[in-house]
Amino acid sequence: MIFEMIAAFAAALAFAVIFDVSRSELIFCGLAGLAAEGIYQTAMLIGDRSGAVLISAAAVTAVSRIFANLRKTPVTVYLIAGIIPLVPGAGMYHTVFNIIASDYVKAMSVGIDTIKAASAIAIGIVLVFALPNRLFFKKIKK
Amino acid sequence: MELKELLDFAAEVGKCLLESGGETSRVEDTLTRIIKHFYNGHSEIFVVLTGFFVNIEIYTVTVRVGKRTINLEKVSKINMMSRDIVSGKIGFGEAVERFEGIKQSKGYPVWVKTLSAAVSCAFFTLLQNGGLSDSANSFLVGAAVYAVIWLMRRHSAADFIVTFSGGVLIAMLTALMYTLGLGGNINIMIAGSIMPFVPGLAVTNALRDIIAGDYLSGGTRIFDAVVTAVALAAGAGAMMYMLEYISGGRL
Repeated sequence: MIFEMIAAFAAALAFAVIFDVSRSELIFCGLAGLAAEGIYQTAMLIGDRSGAVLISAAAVTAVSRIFANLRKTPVTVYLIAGIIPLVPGAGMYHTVFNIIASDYVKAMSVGIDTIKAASAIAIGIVLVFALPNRLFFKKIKK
Repeated sequence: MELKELLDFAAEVGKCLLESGGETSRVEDTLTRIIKHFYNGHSEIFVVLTGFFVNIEIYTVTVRVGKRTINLEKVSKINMMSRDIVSGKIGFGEAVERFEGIKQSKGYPVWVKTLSAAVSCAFFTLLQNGGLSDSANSFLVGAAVYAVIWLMRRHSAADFIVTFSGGVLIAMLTALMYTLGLGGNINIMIAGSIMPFVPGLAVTNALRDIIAGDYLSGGTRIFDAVVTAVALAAGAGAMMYMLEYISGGRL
């Protein structure tokens, strides 16, 4: 799990560079990715995949909002890098591949799995974004 | 400061924000704050994904935003500038000056981004339970694909074609290097290599716009993200299927 978290850190940090995130914020983008993967792996120990993705997406959104308030930078900067380890890229590819290969049963099951994971990310983000901003300021001043 | 000047400044800021990948709600919010700070009278702003209108009293500008890239540094800096304007730290003249500087910032050089795309591909492959040789393969594929995508964007090819070609190229190069003996699992390598090209920003922005109640922009962005994702996966999937077919299932 430690290994995965380090890989997610590096991947998220490198991913942030592609989007021209300023140098001073890169490390926080990496940390957001690390948090996402760490929480995902932990949640996977007790639950199934979409639940783990949901919890992890919500947590990483909270982390991003805290960073955003600390660093006075838009949340998007951290959030994009943070959620990327959760994005079901492999599922997307396998779905389309199976459709092209005419294996519709497999395509359907992989596809619905992918949509489930993507929706879980969306719901996780929305849930935490709906919380008032004051909540995240307080956390810092504690 | 004349109203016309304020309007032009606001239009420029909005254009830069929208072009750099700011959310629609952010553009609306930033422009409202800037204009309300400098002028107390009537003003209206209406922003969609591909352009916006700003109106102050009798003046109106319509700005059309064609080319949308992603530069989060500009978005953050404009955000900072608007905070400083609202808190009264900088006046109009200073703001204009600072904005000129922000507009000029170029971001990281292409080779740095190419290298980052490669590194990110390599680590995503490791995250998908790939081995070291898989990761090395993805590293090379990532660098090549990012460079090609960048070149195509520069010659302003359509987004769909760029992403689709990216997917095709990922499958082709991965299979090529697999045949040459690098990497052990094609599926893992492709899954890792497509990660840096998935539309993460579009989805995030879409959600933020939808939460802000802007279903028009949110919906457009979701559609944008779906098209990009499908183009990428379809490119890689179609190419891979073709290669498998040609090679008689040996890949």
